[in-house]
Amino acid sequence: MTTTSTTIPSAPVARSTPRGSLGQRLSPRILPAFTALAILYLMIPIIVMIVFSFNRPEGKFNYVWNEFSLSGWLHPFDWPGLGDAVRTSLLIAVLSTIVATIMGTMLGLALTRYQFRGRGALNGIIF
Amino acid sequence: MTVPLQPVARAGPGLRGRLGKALPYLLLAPGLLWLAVFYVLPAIQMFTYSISTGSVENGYTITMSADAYTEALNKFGKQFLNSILYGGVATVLTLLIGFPVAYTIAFRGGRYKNLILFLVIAPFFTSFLIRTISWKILLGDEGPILAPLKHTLGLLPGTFSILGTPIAQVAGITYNFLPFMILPLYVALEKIDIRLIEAADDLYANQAAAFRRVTLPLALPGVFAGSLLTFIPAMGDYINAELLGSPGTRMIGNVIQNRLLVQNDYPVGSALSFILMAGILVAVAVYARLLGTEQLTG
Repeated sequence: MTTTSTTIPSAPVARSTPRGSLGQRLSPRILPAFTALAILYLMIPIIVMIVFSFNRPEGKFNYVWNEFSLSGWLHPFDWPGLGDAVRTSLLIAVLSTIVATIMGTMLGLALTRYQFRGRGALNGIIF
Repeated sequence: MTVPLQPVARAGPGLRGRLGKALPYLLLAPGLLWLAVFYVLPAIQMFTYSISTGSVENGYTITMSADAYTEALNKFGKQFLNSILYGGVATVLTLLIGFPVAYTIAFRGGRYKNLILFLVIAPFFTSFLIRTISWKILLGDEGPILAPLKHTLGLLPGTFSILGTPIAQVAGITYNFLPFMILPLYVALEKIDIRLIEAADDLYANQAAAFRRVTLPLALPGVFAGSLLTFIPAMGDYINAELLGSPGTRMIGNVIQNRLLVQNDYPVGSALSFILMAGILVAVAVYARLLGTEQLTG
């Protein structure tokens, strides 16, 4: 900052020119680097999960790396009841999405398009 | 706010007019009925349990006793404090990590904007539980991070562990709720008219001043929404404490889960839930007052 104040007068043009200090030169890189680290933080557990999907666990728990194996991917439905559980999950997800969309649309329409007694209070309660 | 319209009401009296008057109520009915059955009734039921005495086997009778509340407050003060402390620290951390990320996506994202946003919500594509278990693997005493530091590099003593400490627990909570902070912050920052910041620049504000007096105040609704979305579920979270913490770092969510689902002690479990709910309501009210509600709801 000290170099800029001596070389460039405080004219409007000065602000658009790059400044000399180290901080000013680094600052365009800091935010993207920080964001990349934060995204890495978010991705790490997923990466671990993918890596450990190729593990052949020694016991019941898949917590310690043992040896490479494709069995988890080759026989995904070996666990008894897993296929049924997946089917149930899908069914419930589809049904609840349909019901929530219909009810939510109706509530949303009523709250934004119509005047009725208790509209403000209802708005407050729902949000 | 959208301007309320009454298109059907103008049709005048008669069947269509009456239908028009009833229409908003007809539209509301299913949703409100749903909320009443699945939200209001259970809440009333919980409240009745909290002032009852008895057991699952012999049934409960409403005795208007406050025993459950006194027991909840006397026995579990530490867990309430843990919840406030860990939930609070995690919320501050998500804000400190989330703000620069949201700022980068909103103002520097460029053509990568959608990709980064996708990566932020990508964790939701897998289960909360599995992601937390992944952290358990990673932070384990002989896990991929600590084992090399201990044995290969010898930087840490063999007894060193992260798992089971408040640090692992707070890191897990921060991790799990980070997207809930980033998304509302991004929405608030994205809405900021870039010309306002240029105007501050034109009026001889330096970057720091423009940020402090233009960007930050306009981002406050996002900060408010994000910290509520983080703090409220973080307070009640019990998965992170269960998997990454230790008995000493248990939070109030663990106690509620234990009382209701393991010990079948419905009165104390319900009383704990109500105390937690009341505490959160008070905290939110105070927080809204501090940040200035008019700005946020307007």
